[in-house]
Amino acid sequence: MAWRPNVHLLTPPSVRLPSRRRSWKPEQHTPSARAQANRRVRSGAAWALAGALFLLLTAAACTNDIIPRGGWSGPVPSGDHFYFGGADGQVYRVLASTGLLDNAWQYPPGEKATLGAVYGSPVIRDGVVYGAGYSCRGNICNAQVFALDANTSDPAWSDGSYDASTKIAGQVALGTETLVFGTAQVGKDSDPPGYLYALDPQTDAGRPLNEQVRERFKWRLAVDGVVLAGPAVADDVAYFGTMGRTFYAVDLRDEARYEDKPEARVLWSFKTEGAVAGAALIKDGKAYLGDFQGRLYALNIASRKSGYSGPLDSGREEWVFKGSAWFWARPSIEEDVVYAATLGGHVHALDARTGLPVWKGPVRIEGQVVGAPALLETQRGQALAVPSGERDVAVVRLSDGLVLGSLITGSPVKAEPAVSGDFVFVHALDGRFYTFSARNFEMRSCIDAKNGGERCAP
Amino acid sequence: MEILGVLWDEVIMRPMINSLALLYTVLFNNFGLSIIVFTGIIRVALIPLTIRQTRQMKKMSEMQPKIKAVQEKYKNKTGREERAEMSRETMRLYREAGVNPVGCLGPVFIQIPIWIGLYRAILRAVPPTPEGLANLNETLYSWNPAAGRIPLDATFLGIDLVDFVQAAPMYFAIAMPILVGVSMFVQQKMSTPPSTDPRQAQTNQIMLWTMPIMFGFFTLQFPSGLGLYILFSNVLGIAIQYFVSPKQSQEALVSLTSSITRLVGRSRPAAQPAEASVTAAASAPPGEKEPNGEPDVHGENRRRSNRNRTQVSRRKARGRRHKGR
Repeated sequence: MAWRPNVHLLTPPSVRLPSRRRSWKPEQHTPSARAQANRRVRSGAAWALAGALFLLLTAAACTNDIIPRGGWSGPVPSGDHFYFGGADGQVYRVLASTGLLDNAWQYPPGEKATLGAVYGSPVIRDGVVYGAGYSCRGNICNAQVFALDANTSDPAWSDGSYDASTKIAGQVALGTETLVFGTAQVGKDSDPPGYLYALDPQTDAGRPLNEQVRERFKWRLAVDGVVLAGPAVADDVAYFGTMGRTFYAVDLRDEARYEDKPEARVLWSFKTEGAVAGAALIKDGKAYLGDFQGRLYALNIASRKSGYSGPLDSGREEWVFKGSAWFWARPSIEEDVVYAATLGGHVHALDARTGLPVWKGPVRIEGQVVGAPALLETQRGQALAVPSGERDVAVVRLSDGLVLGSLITGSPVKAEPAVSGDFVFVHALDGRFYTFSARNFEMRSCIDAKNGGERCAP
Repeated sequence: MEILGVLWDEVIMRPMINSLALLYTVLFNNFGLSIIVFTGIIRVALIPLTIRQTRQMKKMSEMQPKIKAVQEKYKNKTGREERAEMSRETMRLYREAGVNPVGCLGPVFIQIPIWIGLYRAILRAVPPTPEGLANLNETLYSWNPAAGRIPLDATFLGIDLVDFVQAAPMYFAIAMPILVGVSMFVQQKMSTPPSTDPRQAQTNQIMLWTMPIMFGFFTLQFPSGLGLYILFSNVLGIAIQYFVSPKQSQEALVSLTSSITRLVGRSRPAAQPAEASVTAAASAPPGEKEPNGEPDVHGENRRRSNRNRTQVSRRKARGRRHKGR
């Protein structure tokens, strides 16, 4: 065998030699060559790591789409105050006469406490404010349903709030003895996709321990889709639509025949063409609802309850109107005319009996409309305050659809405005609460609810 | 910045979301199939770039001796002028050969906005929030029949394609990153020609291992639908690469297979001499059997002991040499 020099003898001890298994060439293993090789290794790995991190960070930074934000809660009047859920997950109270925030009234208490995303407006009865909110961490969501003393903001339930592992994106609703709300999937269940929950709304304030509610949960009804909107309740029947394209009428009364059989509570159902995300309007024995196929339906609830399950019957004053965009906002009705707005910003006025347009054509405002229009009296006649998802609140005259002007907020409004006397109260998506004159649309006051009710900066 | 956002939305996001939604209506309301077919469309559209990339890399590989010669010429010259001259000569060589040094990165750079866009498109096509759902009305084109199918059902083979991979059932959360990493490794192995330049070869080796491992890990943070896209994109890339460059692909696969075989061979425990059957045998070449049909364990053992003897004698010789210093 040819003699080869022993490199271990020739090389200084401080220099690390490669493994004998690799082919060895002297020029590869000088200190500068080794340093260059090491630099290349680090450089290649660094570029690969940087590229992958860039991709991950860029993608991860764009996760706004999965975080619920809320801010769709409109002000609800009770006595001298308005109550609404803020985009920061707090419930606030504003004095109607001044438009100022009552800083002593806030829920949940604490600077960083939050309900998460509050979409539905509160519901108030007998001095108790009911509502819900939810938050998500990844795809794990938790919702809270609360009941608060309208004077003190203290929880009205001894057990605090009712928690569920789901999303509640709509308003809660009250029957005689039942509080109902719609949900998405609960926990990690793969089936069913949505529920109608029923709770006992009774408050425990002032009651002895043995009379307090032990079990808040009453029953839940599995439905064929996510329930995004709050149910509408009339005569202890809850009416709501689902993303599974079904409109339900559910009996809320506590009767023995329903025990352990919540599905028996379904009085009737109606299949829609598209998914139903918004709440229905129940008025004068009819239900008005819109879907994601741009259809607005009018259903005769008395006929349906009596057993009629056929297609839409004009003889029963049932009809369907085909609009040009998805319906989400709850319709409004005034003097037998139904006013409905779409996500495309179209506002339609339809005869409540026939479904035929009353105006020459739909009125187009900027932005999507998810909050229900509110009726108000202006100097130029009765009008609708239509909240625009782009910015401002458009004021549209009822008689002919003429846009009279705007309530300037400068930011999107997704909550239903509230009207009281000569004033319009608007909760904007940026957390500001406005008071406008209904007569001339001038802003009377503006407070920033997220900043402790300070006056809005110009 | 706003104009960039509008461009991104109109050029990348809306077409992507509408494509996925349209495929959904065509493919039996199956979101998983929509993603798979979408992947196929993208890969087919990128075939010209893939062919160009392969040709560029082949040319670069052929140019390695010339590049090396230039580097040798300037090996001991460390001055700024000399280094600049070396770069100029190198770039001249590339120009004469018609090679773009970064041309091979074209398909990679094209894929990056697709991955990012698809990540968001999946979340926006099946939005988990009311805001996202309301915005879908503006995102879908008016002529797209998918508007009537909202909400889209994102379940595929029991997996919610909008959920992150790490939130999926355990078998999926483990299998998907592994499959993504392995398929990416195989694809890179097939598409990277062997380099005669040891430095280039070393860099290639690092990239070959680093990217698949990292992507496999990061897949956990992606929606399952995006993981599905990356996996099928890699699989299709392997198939396309095989047709575009069959010889190189075969060599790469053979090399890969032999590496796996060697790895498996090394991991098997060695047979103990005491357990071998004791029958007389001459020292036979590997693979030969004893006259009675038993494997030539003795022959193997004899060769092993010869090898050990050689190693011992070498160690002794080294020791003597050290003593002699």
